[in-house]
Amino acid sequence: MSKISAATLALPGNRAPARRSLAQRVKAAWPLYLMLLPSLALMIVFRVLPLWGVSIAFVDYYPLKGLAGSPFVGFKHFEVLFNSREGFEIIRNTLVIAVGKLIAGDIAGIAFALLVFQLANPLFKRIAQVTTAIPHFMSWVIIGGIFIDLLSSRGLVNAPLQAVGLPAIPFLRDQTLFPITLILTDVWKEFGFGSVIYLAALTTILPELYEAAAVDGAGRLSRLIHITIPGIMPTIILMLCLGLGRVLDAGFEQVLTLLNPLVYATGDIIDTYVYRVGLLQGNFSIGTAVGLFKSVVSFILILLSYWLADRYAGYRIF
Amino acid sequence: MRKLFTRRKFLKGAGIAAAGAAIAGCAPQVVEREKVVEQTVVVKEKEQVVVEVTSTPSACAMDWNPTLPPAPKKYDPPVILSSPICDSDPEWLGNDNRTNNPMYNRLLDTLGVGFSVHWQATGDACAQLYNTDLAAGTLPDIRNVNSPIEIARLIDNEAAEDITDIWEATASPLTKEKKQYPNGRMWVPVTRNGRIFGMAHSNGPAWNVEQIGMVRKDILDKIGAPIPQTIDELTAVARELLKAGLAKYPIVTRSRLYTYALSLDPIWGAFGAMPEHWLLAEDGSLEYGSLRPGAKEALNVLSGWYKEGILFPEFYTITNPASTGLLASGEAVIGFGPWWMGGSITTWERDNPDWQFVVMPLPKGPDGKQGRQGTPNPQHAVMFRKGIEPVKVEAFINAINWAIERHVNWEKYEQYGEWRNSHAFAQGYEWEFDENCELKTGPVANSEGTYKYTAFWGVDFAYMSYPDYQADVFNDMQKWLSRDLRSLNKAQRYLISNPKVRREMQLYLEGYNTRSLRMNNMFDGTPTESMVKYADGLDKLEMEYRIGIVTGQKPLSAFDEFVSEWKKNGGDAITAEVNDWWQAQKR
Repeated sequence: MSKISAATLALPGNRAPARRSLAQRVKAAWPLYLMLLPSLALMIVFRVLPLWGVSIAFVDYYPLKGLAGSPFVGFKHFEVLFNSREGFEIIRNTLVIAVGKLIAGDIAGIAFALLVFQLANPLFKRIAQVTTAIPHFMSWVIIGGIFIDLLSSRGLVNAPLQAVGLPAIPFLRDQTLFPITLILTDVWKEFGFGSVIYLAALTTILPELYEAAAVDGAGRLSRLIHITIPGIMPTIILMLCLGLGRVLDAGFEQVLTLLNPLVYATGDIIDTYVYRVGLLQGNFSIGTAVGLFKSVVSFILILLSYWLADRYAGYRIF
Repeated sequence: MRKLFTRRKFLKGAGIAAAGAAIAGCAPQVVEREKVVEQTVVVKEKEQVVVEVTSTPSACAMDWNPTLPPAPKKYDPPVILSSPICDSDPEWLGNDNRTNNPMYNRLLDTLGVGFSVHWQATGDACAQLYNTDLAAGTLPDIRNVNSPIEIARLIDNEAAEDITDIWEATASPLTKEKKQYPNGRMWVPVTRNGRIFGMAHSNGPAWNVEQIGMVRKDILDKIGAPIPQTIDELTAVARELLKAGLAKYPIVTRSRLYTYALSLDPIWGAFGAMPEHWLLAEDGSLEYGSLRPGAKEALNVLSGWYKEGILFPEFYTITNPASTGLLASGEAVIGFGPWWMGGSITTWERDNPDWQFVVMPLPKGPDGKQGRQGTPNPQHAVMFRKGIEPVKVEAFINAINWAIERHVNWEKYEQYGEWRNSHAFAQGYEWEFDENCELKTGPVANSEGTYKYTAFWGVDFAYMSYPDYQADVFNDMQKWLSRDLRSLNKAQRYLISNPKVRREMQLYLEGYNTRSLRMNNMFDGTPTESMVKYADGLDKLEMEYRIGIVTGQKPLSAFDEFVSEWKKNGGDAITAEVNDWWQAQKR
């Protein structure tokens, strides 16, 4: 797939533009730059200036004394993360849960999009899409409460099992099952909304290809394997690559809602740790150090994901 | 078919539906009307209460004469201190609110001291807002702090005012004596180099966390069992109750097993261990109670209980109200709780006339040991914002002087609301006249209602009180019991004949009289550096193993692994620091 830059698109005939100075460009398009100013100001105030706050990670921070009054301690607070059992656990859990959600979520989204795409009745199609997308707009506090009721040992799932003499499935208290429960419940909540992009991709496949394949005797499965999947493959790769940038976002609200002491070892993630230590216990320096670690790794992963998206799906932003 | 669902038709339909919804939303609805009616009924009920009180026949008169101690100083204009509230509101009567009720107004009218709500929240939101205040420099004038870690953090942050000079000049000799100033252990967390950075307070022995065994005797009678005295007997009784179908989960507990109410710490105590406590070892050093060999034996008992279905299967996620609800519903019949649960018990007994809760001694272990956690000496402190106006500190201390004078001489002033929580003991609130002109319970006299009515976090009861307060009051009331009822006034008669008061008195004195069984946390100093650093990881580790072993997710042998992991992951460093502190204390 060819690369198309913004500059190329901007000029008819694809001729290279004559290089102009910044002042000339601003003068030529000053209304646009003027409109950009509020956004730029907001970004500086809320995104750039707060970066100064990361220095809290390198001091023993006393809020009322400020950074200048807080002694510099170097990487002391990072040691808590890297030299403790807890640090290893939260990084591992974050990766396992986030990668699991990324892969399972994409598979579910693709599968659902393929199924919906096959539906002939447009009304049923729309009802299916809307009903499956609704959970995406609901808070995890609500969804979490529902799942706790459903999956507890006396819940709707386990009560019938126990009634017929089968053991209850410890969805929320088994250390192995808990991350799987997190992944599956997240997939349930998001697959409907996540399928939208794949449905859009499916509509770009030329119907003539299906007709030609049918004439050649291809069945549904053959058409799926040889036309549909290759047709949306760039989108799948793109979504996976972009998802890499979110690989340290394992779902704070969901984990906080469903976590319990029995599954700390496999359920506690970076975000819940930062919340607990930073916001609840008020250890701002440790919380910032762990948050900074996450941000740096995420930044590297985002760069990597954009590179991969460009390399394998021809998708470029910059 | 397609024509039936054109975009135009869809938009038209959607438009009609939206307009319909808007009209329906604007129109008066039946449901809303019902709600209004309900609210009216509630208001009427409240009004009826007030009307009943105000229209009491003139023949009904108080035969006691409550007076108030003279104000140490009256502030005009009033001094108002801002304070956060980490609690929900009670159901206010009439036009009452947090800053307009008999208890609050009494203080404002007499001393010219009042409070304003800095913010109000519950649960984790409170901790978040506290920390946001600290980070943003928007601290309230006063703040009640419940943990030594928090107290240390405020002092280290230079966020707490040094109140030494004002305290020395303003606190009355009686206040200083009752608050055990300056040598009481409760002053340790707020003291730095001989200066105090907050007003310490402690509720004293047998207060909040000391568990008293309670069992439904009516249920025991059904299986012909005596009140269990040992761990083995307790297990046998629970087993029998399960077998007989008389209890669904015979013994109740809360999510951490060890906590402030419905805690199972007496089980650890029966084996000479106590979780989350620093205990004196045989060699004179301090050791962490969760690591003692007895803790393993306690976990063995508890895991056996869990396996047999004696404990609620998902106790580790149960909310506090839900665990209390197991007792209230009769699903559980045995529990260990603090004395103030007497109020709830009385309510349950009132609602279920065949129920009868009785005190059960703390169970003895195989070696005859008994024990429970003790109320910590340094418990709480009211901290003052750095830079607070001195007059506010002075006004607050004067409010305490006034309150302590009232507490100590409560019989002299005939302030019978002092029996608990510094109530105003106001007609129409705590009590009303009945048809015989005797006192009966008023609309806010249940335990939580009155407490919340009185509570203004940072200034209410305990903070104005002193460690032996409740014991003194109940000992005074005990004397009334031996007197001829006719020699008592109506308020005294009401109090000692009130089942809730009697129950709480019984439970408190049970705890107080068995205070030798308390296993106190011997470390009551400022949290060490390693404690702060490793607190989260070690707490998580302990919970994971404790709950894991009890629920059978981990074998009992994992206890040894826990001990080793605890030591390796910061526990050894904490133990060394705690023992350095201990050695310094001994010197």
